[in-house]
Order: sequence, then C-alpha cells, then structure tokens
Amino acid sequence: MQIFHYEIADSSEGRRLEDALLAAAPGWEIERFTRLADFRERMHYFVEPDSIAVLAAANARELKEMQDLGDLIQDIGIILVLPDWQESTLRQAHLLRPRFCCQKNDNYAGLHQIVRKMVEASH
Amino acid sequence: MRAPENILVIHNDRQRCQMILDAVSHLGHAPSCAHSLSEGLRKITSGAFALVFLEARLPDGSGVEGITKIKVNELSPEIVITTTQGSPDEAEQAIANGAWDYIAAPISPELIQLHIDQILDYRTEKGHRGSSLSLDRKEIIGNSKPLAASLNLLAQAAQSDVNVILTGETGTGKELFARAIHANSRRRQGNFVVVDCTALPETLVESVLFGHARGSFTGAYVSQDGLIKQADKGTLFLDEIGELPLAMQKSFLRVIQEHRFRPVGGGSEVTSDFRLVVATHRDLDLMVRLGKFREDLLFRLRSLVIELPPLRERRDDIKDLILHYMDQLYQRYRLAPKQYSSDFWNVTGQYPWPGNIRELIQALEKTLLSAGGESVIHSKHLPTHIRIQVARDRVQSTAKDPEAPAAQLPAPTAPLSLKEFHRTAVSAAEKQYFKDLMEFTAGDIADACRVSGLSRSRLYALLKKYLLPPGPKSH
Repeated sequence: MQIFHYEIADSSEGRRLEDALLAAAPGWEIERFTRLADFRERMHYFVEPDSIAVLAAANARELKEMQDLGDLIQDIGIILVLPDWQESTLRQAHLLRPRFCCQKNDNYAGLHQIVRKMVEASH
Repeated sequence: MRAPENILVIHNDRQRCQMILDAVSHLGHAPSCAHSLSEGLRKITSGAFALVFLEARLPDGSGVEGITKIKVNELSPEIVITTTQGSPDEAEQAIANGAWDYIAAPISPELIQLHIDQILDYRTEKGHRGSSLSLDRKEIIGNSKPLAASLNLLAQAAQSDVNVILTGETGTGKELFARAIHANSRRRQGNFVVVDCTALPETLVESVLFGHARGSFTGAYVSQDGLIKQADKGTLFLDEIGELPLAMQKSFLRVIQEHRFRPVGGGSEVTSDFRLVVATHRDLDLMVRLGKFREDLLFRLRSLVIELPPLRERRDDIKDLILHYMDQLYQRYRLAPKQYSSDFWNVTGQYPWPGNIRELIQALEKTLLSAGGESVIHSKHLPTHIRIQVARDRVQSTAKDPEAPAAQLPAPTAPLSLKEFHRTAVSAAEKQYFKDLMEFTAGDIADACRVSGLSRSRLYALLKKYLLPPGPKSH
C-alpha cells in the first residue's frame, strides 16, 4: 500500500491536511504532489495494491480536471477534500467513486479515522 | 425456439415432483427441486426462476400462504399451485395471493407444458426476461455461460428498482456489476454513491450515512447531507454490507422501508428516493444464524440476488480478460503491445486464480514489469507463486492418473494455515519481483525506484529484506 496526497500548493490548509495524514498513518511515507499533472504522471508508474490517494480540489474546475484521471486511479481508494458541499460539487465528486469525502474547512477528524482504518486493513 | 428458463418445483412427494421435473427437462428448460417450503424459499432467493410449481400443502407450511413470500416484486417468478386434493376455497385464496393458476390432480405433462408456455409467453411480452445483449457492460468482460447468467440477472435488475444483493468471492467484480446496474437503469443521470463499509469506522457510520446538523458534535461546523441523501434519484451502493455495525443495521432497515431518516442532531426527517444495491463476500445467512446480521434486514435486501462466478468457473473468459487488462496496462505504462507465447496462455488458463480478477490484474502488472523490454510474454514472466502452483497441480494430476507412470511424490504434509500460506506466497512473489526489477534496471537504483514506484529508502529496505544486492550485478 502507498499513500498519495495531492493539493495544489503549499498553504496552511495543506499543511493541516498533511499533518492529519501523517498522524493517521505514522511511519508511512506520503508522496505529496502540488501539481495535478505530476500526480497524473506518477499514476503512469507502478502503484502498490490497496493504495490511497487523498485529493484536495481547490475549486469546482479542479475537481472537474480530476475526472480526467479516469482509469489511472480506478484501483486506488480515493478520499476527496471538496471545496464545498454543493449539489453540483457532490455530483462531480461521486464520478470519482470516493471512499470518503470531506470539506476543506473540516477538522479532518473523519478523514483521520478513515485513513487509519484503511492503513490498518492493509496489514 | 424458446430460450431455456430456470423452473423450480416445490413438492414433498418425490414421485410427483420427478414427473414435473421430467416434463420441464423434456421442454429444454432447467429444472430445480425442493422438498419443503423453507428449502424452496431459500432457492428462490438465491436463483433467478421464471416459474415455480408449488405444492399447496407442504410438511413445513402452506404453499398457498407461501405465495406472498415469493411474489415480492415485479421480477418474482410466476407461481402455479399444484395439489392432489383440490379445494375451491384454497383455489380462491391462491389466486387472490397472486398465483398464476391452481391445478389439481391428475396433473399431466401436457398440462405442465401448457402452463410453462403460457407463462413464458406472458413474461416475454412483459419484457421480464432482461436482455443482456443491449447492456452497457462497462468493463464486464467475457462471454462464458456463468457470466452470461449473471448478466441476464443484471439486465433484469437494471429494468426495475428492486433491492439487489451481489454476492461472490473477493475480486469477482461486484462493484463493477453495481455500476453497470446503475448505468443501465432509469437512474443513470443520478449519483452512484459508494459506501465502503469496510473503511467506515463505527463512530463515523451514522453521520456519514445520514448526514448531520451544524453543531451536532465537535467538528460539525456546517450541516452536511449524508450519503443516503446524496443518492437521491440515484443508486446507493453499500459495499461489504456484512461489515455494517449491528446497531446501524436497525436504523438502516427503517431507511430502506420508508426512505426517510433524521440526520444526526437534525430536527426534522428528510427523504431520499434512492435505489439500493449491496455487495458482500460473506455468507449473510450464516451471519444471521450467528446473530451478526439482522434477519429482517436480509429479508428486505434480497429481492434479487446476483451471484458472481469465481474466475476458476469461467475459464473461457480468462483470455479475453487478459487481453483487455493488458491493453489497459500498455496504455498506462505507455508500452507497445506485446505478443504472448502458448506457454503463457497454458499457465494462465490452468491457474485457479483464488483472488479472481483482482489477482489476475495484479499478476499481469507484475508480469509486464518482469517482461521489461521483451516483445513476447512467456510464462516465466508470471509471478513465481503462480508458476509453482500450476507446476504442483500438474504433478498431482499426473500422479492421480492411473494410466500415468508412478510418480515419486513426497509424503503428504499438513497444509499451512491460510495466513502462513499467504505470507509465504507473497514473500516468494515479492522476492522474485525485486530480483526481476534489479535485473531489468541493471541495478540502477534510480531507475528501479521509477519503475517500481517505490521511494529509495523503501526499495533499499525491501532489497535488504530479501537479501538482494542493491547495486549493479557483477558478472
């Protein structure tokens, strides 16, 4: 299992999410990407089974761009951090078949629990 | 000529039962039998029957009263009540309960044929026989008989709104089937919402499913719709429903019945018009007997059961599956397509694939990495544990063959525990993988990291674990 984290740029919000991930998966190396193109490129190489990708969409446009990842992420457990909880956003989100969604202003307690459970299940 | 249909005969008198079964077989249909009402009901929930010949009086209950348990939705089979002692009141009750007809002895093969023809004509006209030909199959690959039977049920499921349970071993493609049901249904414009019950911690299930009101718990800064509401006008897919906590099962039962619920901390109830599809690799009947799954919930869920065949039972599909997934992998890894040797097809065709399609895909990925720049894929590129298993099976089947010369086999040993077997097999496969990886990259660590997708530190750690040299090979 591997853990990937995409978020558009370094920010306090991004660090908060990264901290939540590190706390949920202590000892795991988290591959971090700040450009969607880099994450896409990475998906062209070997990914271990049962891997997780936490993708934070800054806005609706970026969430739409994530749809283009298509088959590249079909075997990865996707966790989405969404810009808002609007119906149109959720509609786009479900096209990626996420295992969990939360909002970017969340305290990430739910995300922490989900990631921890997925990491534990992979052992 | 009419397509063969599954027809069930429920009769406690074995001689009379056999007469009806013979008539059904003679017409080219697939007969099944049960000798009690409970056995019959079990068979109906786990198979797709077009018609049931149901004896009026059975040792464990009344067939006439059992009709309402069978006719639960528009996809349910038609029922013909059979009886040795006809009664006008019973006939009236049978028809009122939804039976197609009530026939009393003497029951001839001609009478059986007449009812079968009438009922199948009726079902064809009503379009009950789902056609898998026009299905959007998504990525469901193959044309084997077991798969075709599942696809027919998928087509039926897509035409209606009934609850569906997808059963089958891990890796058989249950989520793919769930997506195909949604994509072929009238709800295809709505959301397909996945609830992964294995990933959801017990403390989160309620708020994730039902949503929550602002301030209902620490961290609930805003009100959020839960997944059930997000599936409004779409499909709610509960993957591995056997993992749903028992306490939640009761709340969820009410949601299925009424399609209304109260979000956590919410003042009023909300509604959601969702279609439910669930999947499990567990034996839910056994879980009910062990008190780990609610019987009333299981009863509600299983309007239609689609059992997905394991890959070992659809060997005819293996070649198509390999070609399909290899094409995907070529695109993903940006590789030119390769050719396949006959020994590759032999080994992949003989291996039992206990992890089903998921295992097949992972094995193909490793095979491709192992083959590197070679233009033809041979069996030697397959993961080692697969080749070992096939070689062992071959030796064993030769030893069992009385015509074959006596083989010198080691004395049988006690099998390992499954966990131990799994650990050993994974270690052997990983060791081979890293050996192949280092050979392919000529010991170039940066290149090996790029190909394997591993970080440098993890790669070193794994090479150390398998006692493999980290640098270029010296010849």
